Formats: sequence, C-alpha cells, structure tokens
Amino acid sequence: MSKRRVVITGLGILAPNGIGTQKFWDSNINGISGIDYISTIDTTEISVKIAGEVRGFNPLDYMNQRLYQKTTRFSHFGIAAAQMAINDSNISIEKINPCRFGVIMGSGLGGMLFHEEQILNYIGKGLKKVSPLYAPLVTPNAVTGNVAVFFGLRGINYTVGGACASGNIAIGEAFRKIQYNEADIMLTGGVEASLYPTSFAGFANMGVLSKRNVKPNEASCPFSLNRDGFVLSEGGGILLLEELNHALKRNANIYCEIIGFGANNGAHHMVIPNPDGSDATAAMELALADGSINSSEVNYINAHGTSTQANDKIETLAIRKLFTEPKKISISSTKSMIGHSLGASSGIEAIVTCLAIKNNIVPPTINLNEPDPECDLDYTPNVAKERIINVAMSNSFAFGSINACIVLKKYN
Amino acid sequence: MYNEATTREKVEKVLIDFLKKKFPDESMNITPNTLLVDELGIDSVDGIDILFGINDLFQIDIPNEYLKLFAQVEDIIEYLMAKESELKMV
Repeated sequence: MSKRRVVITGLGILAPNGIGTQKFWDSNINGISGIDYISTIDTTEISVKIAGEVRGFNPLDYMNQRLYQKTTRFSHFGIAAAQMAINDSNISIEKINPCRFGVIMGSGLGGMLFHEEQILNYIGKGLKKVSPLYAPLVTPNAVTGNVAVFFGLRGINYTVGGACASGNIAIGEAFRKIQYNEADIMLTGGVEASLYPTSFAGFANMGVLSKRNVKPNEASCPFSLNRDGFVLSEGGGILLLEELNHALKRNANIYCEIIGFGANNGAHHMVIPNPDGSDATAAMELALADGSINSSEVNYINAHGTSTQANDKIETLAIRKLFTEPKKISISSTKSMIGHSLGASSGIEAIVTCLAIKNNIVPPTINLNEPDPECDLDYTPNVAKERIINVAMSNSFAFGSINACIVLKKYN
Repeated sequence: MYNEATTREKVEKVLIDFLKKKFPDESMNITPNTLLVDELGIDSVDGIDILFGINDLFQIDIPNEYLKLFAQVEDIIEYLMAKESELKMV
C-alpha cells in the first residue's frame, strides 16, 4: 500500500509564555520566558518554588459551564487547543465526513489532578464523598473523548500514555492513520495538567527539578554548565493533520508536511537515560529513514533539551553520533522558555518546529551564557536566527526509556 | 426545627441555588416546575452527579434508585420535605 502524504493545517496552543499561536510564537522568537513562582501550590515544605503555569486561561472561553464542571484541567487544555486548531484550519466540520476525522492525543498524567482531589475527599470525608464522576474525569482518554463528543468527531480516538514522549507518539500514530488511509484528518499533540501538589512534590523530591528559585525565568538553562534540573510546567499543543489532497481540495493553509516518525526504547532504566545515547540516536535514525531523508538534509532540531545534566549531555552525544556535520545544524530547546510540560511538551515543540519551518526562523535557547563543554553544538544561544529550514526534527525522550522523534519538511 | 413555611422556602432556595450553579446557562428559568430531563437536559450520569451534590448539601442520603422518580424540581423538594427531620442545611 502506498503511503499518503500528510500536512499540518491547524495549530492550537496553550503555553506558559503564550496562549494562541501568534502570542506563543512571538514569545518564542523573542526569548520570553513563561517561568515564575508557582501560584497554586504551597511550597513551604519543599525546595522548589517555580513552575511554568498557563496563566490567564479561562476554560469558559471555549466551553460552557456544564462541560467545564464535568472535565478537569488537562481536558480543558485539550478542548481549548483543539478548538483553536480547528478554527485555524478553517475546516467546517459539517462539510467533512466525521467518520474520517479522528483524535489521538498524548498525556503523561491524564486527570491525576482530579484524582488527587478525590483522594483528599476519601481520606477527609470517607468513600461516600468520592465524586461519581471520578472515572470520566480521571481516565487519560477523558480529553480525546470529550473532544470527540464536543466536535462530533467519529474517527479513531484514544490517548497515548508515553510520559514525556506522549505528544510525539500521538503525532506519530495520527500521522500513520492518515498515511494508511484510516482517516483523512486527525487532531493530535499533547496536553498536561501537571501542577498539583503530589506531582510537583514527587518530581521535586526525586531531585530532577531546578532549585534556582531566585530568578525563575533563568532557571531552565538547557545545555549550560550550571543547569540543575528541569522546571515543571503545564499546557497543551494540538496540531491538525490532514491528508494532502484533502487539504488541497479545500484550499487550506499548509504550514508544512510531516514526513517521518521513529520511536523505540532504550530498555535501560525508568528514569535515567542510557548514557551512551545509542537508543536516542537510533530513534532519530528511524524517523529520518521513515521520511526517506538523509541526515545531511536536516537544518534544525528542536531538542528535547530538558536542562537536566543527563539529558542535555546524552542528547548532544546522540546527535553527534548520527550526523556527520552536527555543528551545521541549528538546535534549540523550547523548554528554556517554558519548562517541561511532560506529555504536552512534544505537542508544543512540534508546533514550534512547524512554525520554524514556515517562518524560516530558529527560536533561541535562552539562558545559555556559559555552555557546558560537553554540549558543544549550535544551540542558537539567546537570540533567534533567520535560516532557511527545509527539514527539521523534533526530539522527545521520556521516563521508561522511551524515545520518539518526528521529522517535518517544508511543503512544496 | 424550622416551621413548615420557613423550611419549605429554605429547601427550595438552597436546592434552586445549587441547580443554578450546576446549570448556569438555564439558571434564569429554574423554578420548582422545571423539568429535569426535558428542560435541564439531565442524563442518567448528570442525575447521579446532581444527587451526589444534593446529598452533600443537605447531608442526607437519597439512594440513586430514587432518581427516576424525580421528574421536576418540585419532586426533589417534596422528597426533601418528607425527610425534613433529617435535613441539615449547610
């Protein structure tokens, strides 16, 4: 069976440094951070005080009060970002076949925020006080299910749980559904509502979060010598993928083409990446091969770039192993500005990669003033750079040794 | 407890205020005569959620099976009034 071509025709985003594509992109190319002191959690007892919160988001701008009450924050992000992506694509849902329109999103934690609230009810007031809506709010597919019901989308529908690679795996799966003629349109990407006390404390107590509380917007500093961990954040990044001819027939605005997806597992450790980076190299290689792209054609890599000692060093090593002239590639880490939104991160970073191709601009890695000698590639320090970008890759590496990479290409 | 008129008025007010919060889009029109399914669009899962809220609010324990007996807001008020001695309105 020949593979069909797939293009990106709609974007929807809620990130700590901007809600909506324009605001978010402006922040990204101007190096504006969305990291600040966390407002929703009392951090008195722990040493981490900062996070990337999506501020100024009113879910009621996207749904009525009743749906708002019957959903929790990660679904709010999903429904809102899906609405933005559909609007951006100019698709009239009543004019397309809803059975060929599916939804596959990624989320690492699903509705755990609501789960925590119900555990508190159970402990404090007893089992009879646990919400009868527990299951339909908490289940990871609450987001994709609610998006399907809200917009009337009857195609394949599920949520991917692949930790910090959830978004890229979802995008890869959605890409395949269109390639292999199981759908014509897919809403995909990642959402995460990770900023609730047990999640925040769990990551903090593990020692993976930055403790650079003094200047929150400088805490996430991927590839720099003094990086001390990632900044936990939340958000949603949703893309509308469409079969090329379907998009051309309705004269859609095409951002770029998605041409490759590669995913594997390092089978190494639940938390620590394989120090030789060979599995990350292999995942990138799989994605390039899937897109029939030679490594020398890649102009830009949106790195996983978490700002942990391990990731940034090993990702650099993995890139060095695959590319013969790695210093010719522009690399940047979106997480330098918005922190790490776990399952949402690769959805958001796919959007950055897509806009980088569309606009021929490489967004910067901010807070990169003192590079780590072991991270010696071109990470686009501090200032965005104009560059013709024909082919770009977006990396995501996750707890559970998961690696997932996508390759996007200028449409022509 | 309360005298008859006061209790009935209080129950009605507390219940309708609660329903208005649950259904803000229809809140202007919620009265004792409002039909739960046809006017508020309550399905079986919404019904259980609402019963849960009412049980919490009045600190009583209406079993889920009673849901099908409630056609309009008035039916819930009448049920609550029949249990008047057990009510603890928060």
